Amino acid sequence: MTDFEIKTELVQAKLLQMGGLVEIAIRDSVRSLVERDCELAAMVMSQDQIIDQMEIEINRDATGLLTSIRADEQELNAILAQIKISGNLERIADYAKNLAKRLTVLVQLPPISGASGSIKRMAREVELMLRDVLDAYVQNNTELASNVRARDHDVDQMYNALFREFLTFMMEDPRSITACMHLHFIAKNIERMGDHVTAIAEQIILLNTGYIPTDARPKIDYLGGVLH
Amino acid sequence: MKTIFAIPFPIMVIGADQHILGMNNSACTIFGANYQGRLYSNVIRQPLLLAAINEVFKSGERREVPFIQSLAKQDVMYRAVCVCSENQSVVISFYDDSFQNEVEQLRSEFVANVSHELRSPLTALIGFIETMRGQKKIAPETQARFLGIMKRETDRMNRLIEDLLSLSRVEADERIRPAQTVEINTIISAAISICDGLTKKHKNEILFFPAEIPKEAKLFADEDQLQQVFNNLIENAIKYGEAAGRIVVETRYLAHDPALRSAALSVCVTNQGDAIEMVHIPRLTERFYRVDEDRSRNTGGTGLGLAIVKHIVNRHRGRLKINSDPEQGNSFCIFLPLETEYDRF
Repeated sequence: MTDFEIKTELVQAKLLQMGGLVEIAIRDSVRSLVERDCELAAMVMSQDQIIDQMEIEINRDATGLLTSIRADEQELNAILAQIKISGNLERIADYAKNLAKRLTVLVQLPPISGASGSIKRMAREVELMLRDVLDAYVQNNTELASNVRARDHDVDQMYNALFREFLTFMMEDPRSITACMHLHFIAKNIERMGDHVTAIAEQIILLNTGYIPTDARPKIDYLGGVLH
Repeated sequence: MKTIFAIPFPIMVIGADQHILGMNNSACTIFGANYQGRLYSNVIRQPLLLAAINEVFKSGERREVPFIQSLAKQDVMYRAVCVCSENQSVVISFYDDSFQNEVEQLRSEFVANVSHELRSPLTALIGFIETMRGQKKIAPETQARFLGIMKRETDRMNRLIEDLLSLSRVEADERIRPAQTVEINTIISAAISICDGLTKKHKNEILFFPAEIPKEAKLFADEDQLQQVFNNLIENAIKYGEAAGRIVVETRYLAHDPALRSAALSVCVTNQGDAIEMVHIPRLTERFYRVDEDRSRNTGGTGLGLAIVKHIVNRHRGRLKINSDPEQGNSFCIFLPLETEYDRF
């Protein structure tokens, strides 16, 4: 291992540890939704503070590295990537926390049948994407990172389908509007989680190839057509 | 270190300097790559395992924690056992727990199902008993009607318990191969006679096409159990087929069945009726699995018939094949191996 790798090792470890906590946050927040478990939701919300703290520490350690070593461009990029990735992870965890927060409102409303299943599947996709992107980071595996990037398309599609589904529910039964609105925000948040995972993937590709992938990752939304 | 490559389950060794000394192939599969030389906290992200390893480094005491491998379809649960080894290294071995968890889960589901099945008739019975005790005078017709329903429910519970005992007996014997030879055509004819009442009620027509079986090929079987199998299959064919429909029972001699790797006898019971959707077919032999709950209860079904058939067929080292076709109908085929005396030993 190079001298640089040894120095950044500890920061990287902390980053991955943070990633592990975020994986669990996604899993637990969705589980609390599906099982209508307020205690679990409360735990997710309190764990978020630990994750926020870790981002602060990683930023501090990484900038400490910048001042203490004489880094070339490549090494500089590696440290910057650590800072950016920790930011993405913190946002993902935040969305998970918001999901858990909305549950406390949702349990007081009648459940919308079928909704939690669809949301669970969407969140599972994102959870697997995050797991793979963190593996790709440790392995410096651009192929895996590209694969993760492509999978975000599926998450977008699932969001669009859920959007239409909620519209139908709300039109059929106006009493379901409150619950559906909350569930829609949750679905939107999960879709944003997917976007942040994709951002991490792009960082990995940049780090290893020197290029940010700009090829079309078509963003399809409800309005129809393809936006670039 | 070389030893770990000989061990068939995932093992990781972490050196005193907290870097990974080695991972065997199974461990590389779990973690996605060979991370030899890397800091262990760069490779392991799950908080429980991280904490456990940390503690082992500090205290030297053994630690055991759950570890989850997320695969696309299903999570695999492992137990990660961390021990302190020579030169202050830490050895982590992963033990695949998922089978045990699954068995445990199946068992508790079964108990829950049985309780549920018994509760419904019991609730009905309790209701009627309370009603009859509460009223001073009940008209004879009403009393007769109540008693009729109560009899029906107790019969239902009786059938359920009979089937459960049956299933239990069959499972107990499952490893013991039958030693007597039987005549299959006799058994099938008997089953058709036994179902005579039901056949007439549904106005069905049952056609039986027996096959010529060479004398040397013998069917070693438990006669009572095979009787049970065909009683079940023919009864199902009547109950779940269309009224006034035709049911065909056909036996065939196969000189060689590739799956059973021997000469075999096939018996197919085919009825005409609603097709069974593909999604249900793999689950039909599950205990208490029903395609249509209400229809099954109304015809007195316990939900265990096919599970019993499956276990009996297993005991006889045979196979059960289920097919549903809108034109051909629904067919349940049993393949049983035939042996000559020389095959046995």
